[in-house]
Amino acid sequence: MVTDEQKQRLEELRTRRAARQQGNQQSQQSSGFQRYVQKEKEISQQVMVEKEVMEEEKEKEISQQFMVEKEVMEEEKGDNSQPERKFWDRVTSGFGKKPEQGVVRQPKQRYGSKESASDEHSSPSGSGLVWNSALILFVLGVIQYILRFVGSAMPLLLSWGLFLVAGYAFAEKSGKKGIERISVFVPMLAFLVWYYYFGGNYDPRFLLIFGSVVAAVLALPVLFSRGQALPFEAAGFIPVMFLFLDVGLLPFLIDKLQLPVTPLLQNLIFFTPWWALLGLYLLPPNPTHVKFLDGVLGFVKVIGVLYIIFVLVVPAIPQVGYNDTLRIPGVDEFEAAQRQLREQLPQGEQPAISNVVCTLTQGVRVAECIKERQAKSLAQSYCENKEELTPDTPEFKTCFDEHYVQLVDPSRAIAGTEDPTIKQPTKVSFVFDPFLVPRETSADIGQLQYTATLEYKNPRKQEITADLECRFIRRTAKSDVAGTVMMPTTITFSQTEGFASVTCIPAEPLEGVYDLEVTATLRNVETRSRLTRFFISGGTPQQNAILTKRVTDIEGGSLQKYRISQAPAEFVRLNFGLGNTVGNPIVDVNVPIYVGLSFENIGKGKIERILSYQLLPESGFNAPCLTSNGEIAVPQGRVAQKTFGVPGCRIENLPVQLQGIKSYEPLVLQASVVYDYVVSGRQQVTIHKSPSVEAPVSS
Amino acid sequence: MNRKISFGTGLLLILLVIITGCSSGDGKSTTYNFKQGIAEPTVEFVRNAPPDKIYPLSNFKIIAQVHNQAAYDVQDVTLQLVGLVASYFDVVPTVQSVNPLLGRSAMSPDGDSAYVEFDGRSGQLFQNAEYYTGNFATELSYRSGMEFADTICINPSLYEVYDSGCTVQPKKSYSGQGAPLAVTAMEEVVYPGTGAEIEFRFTMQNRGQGTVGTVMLKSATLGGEALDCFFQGTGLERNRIEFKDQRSPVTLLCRKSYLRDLNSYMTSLTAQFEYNYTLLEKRTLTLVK
Repeated sequence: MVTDEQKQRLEELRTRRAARQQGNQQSQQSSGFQRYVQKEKEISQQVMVEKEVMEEEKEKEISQQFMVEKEVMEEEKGDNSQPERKFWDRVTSGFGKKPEQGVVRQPKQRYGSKESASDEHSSPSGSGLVWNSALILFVLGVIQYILRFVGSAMPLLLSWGLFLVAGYAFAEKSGKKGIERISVFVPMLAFLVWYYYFGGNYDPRFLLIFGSVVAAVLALPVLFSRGQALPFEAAGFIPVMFLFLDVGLLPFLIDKLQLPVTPLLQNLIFFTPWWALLGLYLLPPNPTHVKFLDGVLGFVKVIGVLYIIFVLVVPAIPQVGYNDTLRIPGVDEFEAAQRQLREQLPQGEQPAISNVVCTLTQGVRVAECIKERQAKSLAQSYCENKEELTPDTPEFKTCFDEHYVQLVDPSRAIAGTEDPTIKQPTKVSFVFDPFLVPRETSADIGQLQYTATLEYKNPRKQEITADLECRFIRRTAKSDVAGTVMMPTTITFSQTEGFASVTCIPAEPLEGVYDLEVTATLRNVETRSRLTRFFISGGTPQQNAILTKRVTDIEGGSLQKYRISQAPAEFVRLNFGLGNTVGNPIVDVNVPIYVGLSFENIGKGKIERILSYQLLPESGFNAPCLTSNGEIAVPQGRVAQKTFGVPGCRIENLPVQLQGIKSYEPLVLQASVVYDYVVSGRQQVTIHKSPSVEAPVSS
Repeated sequence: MNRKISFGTGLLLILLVIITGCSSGDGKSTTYNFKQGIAEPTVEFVRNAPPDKIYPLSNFKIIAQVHNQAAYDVQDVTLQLVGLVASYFDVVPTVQSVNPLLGRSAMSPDGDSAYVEFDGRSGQLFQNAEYYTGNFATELSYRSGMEFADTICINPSLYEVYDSGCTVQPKKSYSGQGAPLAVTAMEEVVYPGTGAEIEFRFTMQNRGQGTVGTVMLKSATLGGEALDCFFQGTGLERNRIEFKDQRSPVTLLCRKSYLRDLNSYMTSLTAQFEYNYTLLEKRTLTLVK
């Protein structure tokens, strides 16, 4: 835009130029040197004048621009009616949205300059993107956290997506472009190569080579940027770390190694929305420029900090080690392990809530308070969800009390765990075909018959006898009705798998809503357990320490899982321990050795009888409690019989092979229990009577 | 002109390649000093012995190759399998002796090796378990030697500024002597004057993968004359020490009184050691259905 003043200036210049040309013609007669000096002077004058004009033009342009911006700012200030819209404008501005016409944007700042690094919000391209990707990370992290609890398969995909978003957020957070920004992705890329291409190999020799190559690659950006890329490369490891935390590294190790972790700790592992927390901390201060929203985000940030503090200030996780193979598990395995553990867990109180409440309400006994609150919530959840009992009923109270005591004092029973190498345990269950056991039935068809199917898996080909019974438990009906099972009432099976039909006939006419209950009492079922122990005979404490170290060196992380016995996940488990203390897998044969045992009902049914048990049948140990003299009394009530023990005893004689051992002797000890177990299935049925039958025709 | 320069540069490059590409041949066989760095006997299983998967109630073999990569001969060699659960993997016998193995030298640059064979039979899996992974270890025990030799400068007249002989290096570091047990540093302390005395402080470390047992000093000489030596912190048997903490260094002190010459001179310093060593390496065997 050329102003009048500028026009005048140009005019002036033209006239001067014309005058100069005239003067030149006149002075043609003067000497050559004089003419040259004169010409030089004129040229310099001309340049000066042109320069002045240019500077003036520039100043005017800048002032105009400033005025326009001021107007726009004022307009924005005055427009308080649509704060939401401005907020989303800012959110979307980072994705290359073009400025509206007539709006002049601020001149672009130099990347990497002090201004851009210290004040991210002043950088239109930098700050918008930073908080956008951080916000996306936060929002998607929350969504993923919710989806995971819903049981969707999406979280795994989302985890990978969030991994990339987190990398992008860190890159943008750097406030720089070029090599520094790219360097954030280098460790992430290295991780992907290692994980996918090399299958997560962690053989030390491989890691040495791979690590050297990665270090060389990482060194390049550092060299080119003169060391500035180093912190950004370090930042690239954070998304990798969060990916592992998120997909459940810890639960996998717990599941794989069967570490004896407390329910509180198990809860803590799962109740952390890792990506959402990362997104939260990547948000810059005042990210939205909307006071209210910034306030909310700030508050959530504080809560996040408290959450982390309360989550992390818990008993330390027992030492983990995983040495079975030199390949780390896949992410799907992590996810599956996490899902499996989550399914097994009764949903107790959020541990962070327990922590907060106990910290605020209890002065000194915070730890006890947390333990009690967690135990209460877990017991409540167990009785409500697993036992399906109605709160405020006597049954519920009994269940709650018994389960609560077990949680608060778990030491009263010898522990055991599922044997991960036995994938197919013995299983018996009832299945109700809707055609054979319809939910709605008319009573007018004559004799009612309901046929359930007993399905079994008997991988060890045990000869199991099942006594079959049935009954109809009233729901809206007046009373329970007995049922008769059509012959045969007893079946015996020894195949690896199969099924049998169980037809139930009510003993009297039915009317209303009932639960058809079919039970099979399985007779003489045997389940075995095993326990690994390492016997040493050093003689002196120093020698014992050397041998203990040797066992630890060879067994590594496996030693943790050997603390307790293992058995297939079926009906009843005989848990047992043996050692100088029953939980220690390294046993000094020169010190008294004890054995302890307990029974655990791990099925959904009920233990009817424990006929016998036998510990260490072939090992040559001798002790009074190694075999039962007869039947073992079983506590009544499903909760009471969840875990119950019999007194342990001291080992009197050792097998010959353990006398005079030089190094150490590993032994896998066995135990077995023979029992009767009641398995039942329930199906709700409604029996309708036709009106003609129900209301006789009156005359 | 440019053409000439390009041609000249190209020619120069070709010449450079030819010159650097030529060498006087592999001088390794004649000049390589085996008694340097860290090297030790190793144990490796022969492929498929044992197999990756062993089936229940089957015979299997474990064949180990014991390879002496150290620069010294090893004797009293035994290889033991430790920690196998006999009910799953019954190996008899679990200990076997190996003949002495020569160390690496100009005559035998690769070192001696021997194969040790163990016969085993697998047991049954527990119940209907799908697999069992058993941890165990190979324990290689042997007796071997180690020699330290260096040429050092002795200067009994430290205050003699006009001495034009050699320069004393008060402290020297060493990468090793071709064995897992190594002299890693040596300090030379001179007490000058008439009846000058010199003290050598040898720092010895276990730099191998295993465990050093007892170390015995067999001899130590300075210019062919015996030195009076003892291990720091030992009792009556001063030339013998038990390596208790494997990662901590041990100090050997050697002294020589009344040095004959008063001018500086170069001379040889040697020390010979004998030691017991155990190498324990973790392995796994897998029994599958």
